Amino acid sequence: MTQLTSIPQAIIAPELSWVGLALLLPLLAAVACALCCALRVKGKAAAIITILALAASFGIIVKAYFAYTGPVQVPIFQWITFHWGTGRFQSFTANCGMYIDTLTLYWMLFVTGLGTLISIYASEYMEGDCGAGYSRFFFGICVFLFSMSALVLGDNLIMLYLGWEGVGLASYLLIGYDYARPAAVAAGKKAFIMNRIGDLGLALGIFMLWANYGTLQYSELFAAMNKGGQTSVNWDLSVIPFLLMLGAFGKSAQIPLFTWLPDAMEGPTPVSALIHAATMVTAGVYLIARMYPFFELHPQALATVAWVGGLTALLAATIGMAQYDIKRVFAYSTISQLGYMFLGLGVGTTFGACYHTLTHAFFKALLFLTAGAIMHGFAGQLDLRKLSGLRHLPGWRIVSWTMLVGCLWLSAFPYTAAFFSKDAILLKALTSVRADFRFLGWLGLFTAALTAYYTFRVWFRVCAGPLHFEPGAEGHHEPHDTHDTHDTHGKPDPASVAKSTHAFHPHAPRWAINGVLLILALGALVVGVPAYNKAFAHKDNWAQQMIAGSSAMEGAGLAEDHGAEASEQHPTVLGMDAHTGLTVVGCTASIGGILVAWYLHLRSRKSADQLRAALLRRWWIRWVPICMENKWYVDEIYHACFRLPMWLGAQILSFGDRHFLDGVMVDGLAKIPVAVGKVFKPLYGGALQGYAATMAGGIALVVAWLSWVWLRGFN
Amino acid sequence: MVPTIFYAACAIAAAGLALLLMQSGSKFRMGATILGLAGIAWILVIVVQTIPTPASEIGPLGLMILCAFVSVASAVRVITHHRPVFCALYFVLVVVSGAAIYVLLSAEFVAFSLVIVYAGAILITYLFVLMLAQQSPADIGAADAVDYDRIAREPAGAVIAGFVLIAVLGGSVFSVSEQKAESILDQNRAIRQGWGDLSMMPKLLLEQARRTDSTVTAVIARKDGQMIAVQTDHSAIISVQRADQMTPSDLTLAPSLLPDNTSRVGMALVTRFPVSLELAGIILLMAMFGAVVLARKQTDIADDDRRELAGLGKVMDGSQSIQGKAIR
Amino acid sequence: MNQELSSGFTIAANAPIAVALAISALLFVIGLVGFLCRRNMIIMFLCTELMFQGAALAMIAFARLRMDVSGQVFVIFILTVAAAEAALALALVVLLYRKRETLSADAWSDLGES
Repeated sequence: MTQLTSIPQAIIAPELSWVGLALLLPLLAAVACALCCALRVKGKAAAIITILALAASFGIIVKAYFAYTGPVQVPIFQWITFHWGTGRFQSFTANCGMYIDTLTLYWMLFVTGLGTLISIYASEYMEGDCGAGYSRFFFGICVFLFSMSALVLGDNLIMLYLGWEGVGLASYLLIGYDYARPAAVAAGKKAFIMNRIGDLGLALGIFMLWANYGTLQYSELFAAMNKGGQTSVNWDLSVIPFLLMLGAFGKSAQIPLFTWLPDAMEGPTPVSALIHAATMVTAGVYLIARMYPFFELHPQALATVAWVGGLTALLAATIGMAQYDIKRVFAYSTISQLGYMFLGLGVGTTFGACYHTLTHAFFKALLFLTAGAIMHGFAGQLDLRKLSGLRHLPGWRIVSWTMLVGCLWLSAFPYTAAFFSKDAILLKALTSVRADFRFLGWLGLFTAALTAYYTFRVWFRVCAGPLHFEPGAEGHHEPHDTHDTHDTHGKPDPASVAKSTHAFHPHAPRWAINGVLLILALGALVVGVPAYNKAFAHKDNWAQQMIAGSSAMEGAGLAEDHGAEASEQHPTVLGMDAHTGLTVVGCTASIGGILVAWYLHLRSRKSADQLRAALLRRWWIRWVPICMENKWYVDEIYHACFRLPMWLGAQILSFGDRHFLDGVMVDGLAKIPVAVGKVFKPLYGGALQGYAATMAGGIALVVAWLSWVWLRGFN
Repeated sequence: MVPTIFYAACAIAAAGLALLLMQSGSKFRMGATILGLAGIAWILVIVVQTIPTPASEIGPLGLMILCAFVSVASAVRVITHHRPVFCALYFVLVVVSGAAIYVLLSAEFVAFSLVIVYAGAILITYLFVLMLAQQSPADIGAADAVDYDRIAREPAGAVIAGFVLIAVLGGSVFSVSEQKAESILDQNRAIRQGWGDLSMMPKLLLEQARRTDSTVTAVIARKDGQMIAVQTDHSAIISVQRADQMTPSDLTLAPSLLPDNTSRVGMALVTRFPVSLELAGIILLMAMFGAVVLARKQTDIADDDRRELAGLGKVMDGSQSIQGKAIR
Repeated sequence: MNQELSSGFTIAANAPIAVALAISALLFVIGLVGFLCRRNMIIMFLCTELMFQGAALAMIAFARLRMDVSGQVFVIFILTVAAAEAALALALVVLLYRKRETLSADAWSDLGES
């Protein structure tokens, strides 16, 4: 392992406490939304409050960005401080404060920015629930933003944990927003419980950190690492990264804790966009980036992260290829892209991972919001077999074209921003000294091809081709004049003819939704600028500089652009120079995937069905589509491994409780006096002399005992 | 005394009693009687043997044993006779022999009050009631008596309970190793108390003084304020005014002039137990009230039965309502 | 307690007192046995009077032992109570007899459990 370069030391700057308003404003907005909910305010007051608060937070972060001079630690107020001695390990401090370095600002910029935009989107999206539900939704959003800010801005691990739990709570509340639906409630519970399993790892990691370093403040931890942070042979030091990564896996939906994310799509689409695509799931990435020096403590820690990320990316991509629900496809693609980020962290490029986080946030939010617009307009219809050719509908053009932008970015189409970010990750992987990282790099390239395929499967199915749509289950049919649902191209579909007699009118999105979609598409372009600067103008990559100035500097790769330590040999990919080779292979993967999707889903859609039928016919390959469609039976495996034994155990314990504890012990104990009474019942025959005889016998016995036993003791 | 022998004696007596109880009017009776009497005799013998008796006291002791025997035998007859009236009469015998024992124990007053009250009042009441509620005709044999007079209920268990009591108590009480002579302290205290009682009866005191010395005119308090000073030989010295002297002088009263048992009991009742005396009176008053009340209800019930038989309504409904309420 | 028993515990100073105590115990026990065995209600009460006799005799014996007249005074009170109790008990027995026309104690077991 290379010697760690020194992490920049944070200075204490109380004059920057106005940045704490970015924490406080969402909290106040949450209180205001709760008041709106309690007072049953009708109308969009809660949305306006939220948007204003979040925009103000974004403004404060921007101001802080421009006022930034170096890493600072800003105390806000004293929260947990107690000590029982004067030594290093005899105090515990976790005050409310902020640790602001470039990584913080980098993260907060897109968190607050996307939060504001998505709140604007949600103000129109959720308008069907005006009243208590509306305010409750925005209350959840504000709680989430507050927690995420605490997580990112906090200056010690306890504030991070507070934010961690808070985002989990907000996620649970928002997934189960429609609490009347059991599927949503179950999904919320599943998300929360799986997060908790990961949180256990995080908590234990925090304990171990405190046990070894005596402090939980970032500044002090980094100072300790600066002094002597080498790989350790002590188990309690080297287990820290594994525990922390378990927490990250839970929050960011990696193997083995990823099944909650697709189910979390039961929540409203703005929630899916904000929380489960752009911000909450990146908390794991943030954790590893922030605590990156500590991941050097065990030589295999980062390798584990890389392997988990790579395998997750592949697995999720294969599942996404076989799903029919648009949101589910995007959910699996989120898991897959997060896998890329973890892969990047693992192979050693924190810059690649964090830059991919930024680009992914934009295009994934964009994609989810377009899916939400479709859902909103087509009464909940999200099955891509039932929607087609939407770009021909008036009022849906913005949705279709912004969705195309998002899809291009997701497929890492050449020279899009995501292309560069994915390129950064794969470059580091493919040029690594370790053979297994190189294998992971090729795996990542294969996954990129799959990604392009399933992404454009969605776009070609939904937005291109003949016009056809069926409303979803949430529609209320209005009597309208019959609407022409056919196109001049294809044959009229009998089902849609039947539906058209009901005259379903899709509800086109208005300015709030369209505007946000446009801004996000623009943003996706803008985040590519640092990469363009680097690639074409040979200026410095802004994102890379931001990462390099923080605790994740080790992977920023400023010193060496080619990755790894300086070697005599210039690394190659397929015999070409690394950059060029990767560009070629990447372009091939992306465009190849798009072409396959074009053929199977636009040019001749029947061939997709024929291919699937052909695969199913051959016994040696039919397991592939079946497993992919059934999500590789992961949920079923978990059910069998964990839930079933627990259910069995619960049945056994319940049986034991009913029959043993209740039956034998409680009822049995109750039966003892009854039985004893039955024994003595004949004594109470009612005859006076019977009682007298009992008394006399008793007196005789007592007297006998007294004389023979008690008094003997005295003689 | 070895406890085991005592237990054996008790067991024999118990066996006899049980047999007597079980069969009424059969041939076993003679054998059972002898068995029982033998057991009781043995018990008495054992008890007497625990205390050495000087020759001068054989007389009172023999008398005591005789009375005791009569008492116990009568008691056994009380519980085994098949005719209730005879039970009551045998009880009278128990009381009379008990009174004789009391006299031998220097409790004359109580002995006579026992005879008068118990034998004379309580047992007469019992006899009245027995004759009132008699169910068998007067001259029937043992075999023809009513079953509840003839057949005892579980005599074995009762006898065992009873004689376990006696065996244990007797065994532990009479086997105490040290038997001292009459406590001197008790005697002194008694003598002092007796002279004290006498000193509270001025007329009797004067009379006793005059019996000793007929020239005594008055008894006055001594120099230390007390009336009587008790000497170690149990005589008392009082200060008297003699007829032919001006100044008071001392007079010695012999111990034989101590007040007798009746006076002592009376003095004790009045001076030391006045509250109990009053309470005893109240108890008797309550008993009288209770008897009146019970008797009255009895009348009402009898009237109701007769009226019912005649087809009339109950007495308690209308005219007797005031009385009815007073009862409750 | 050990001290008291061995040095101050005089059961019977002379034989008559010992005999009287034995007789009192016997009278009490015979009365107890009779109470448990006889089924005629009046005779049952008579046997309780026999138990009174036993107790009274014990009182007198101890009064004689301790040369204290209090025992005899207590016997007078026992007499009083026995008289009062006998009066009321016999009145009740007569009432019960009139209800069931029999003096047997077995006629009155309504309060039994079975």
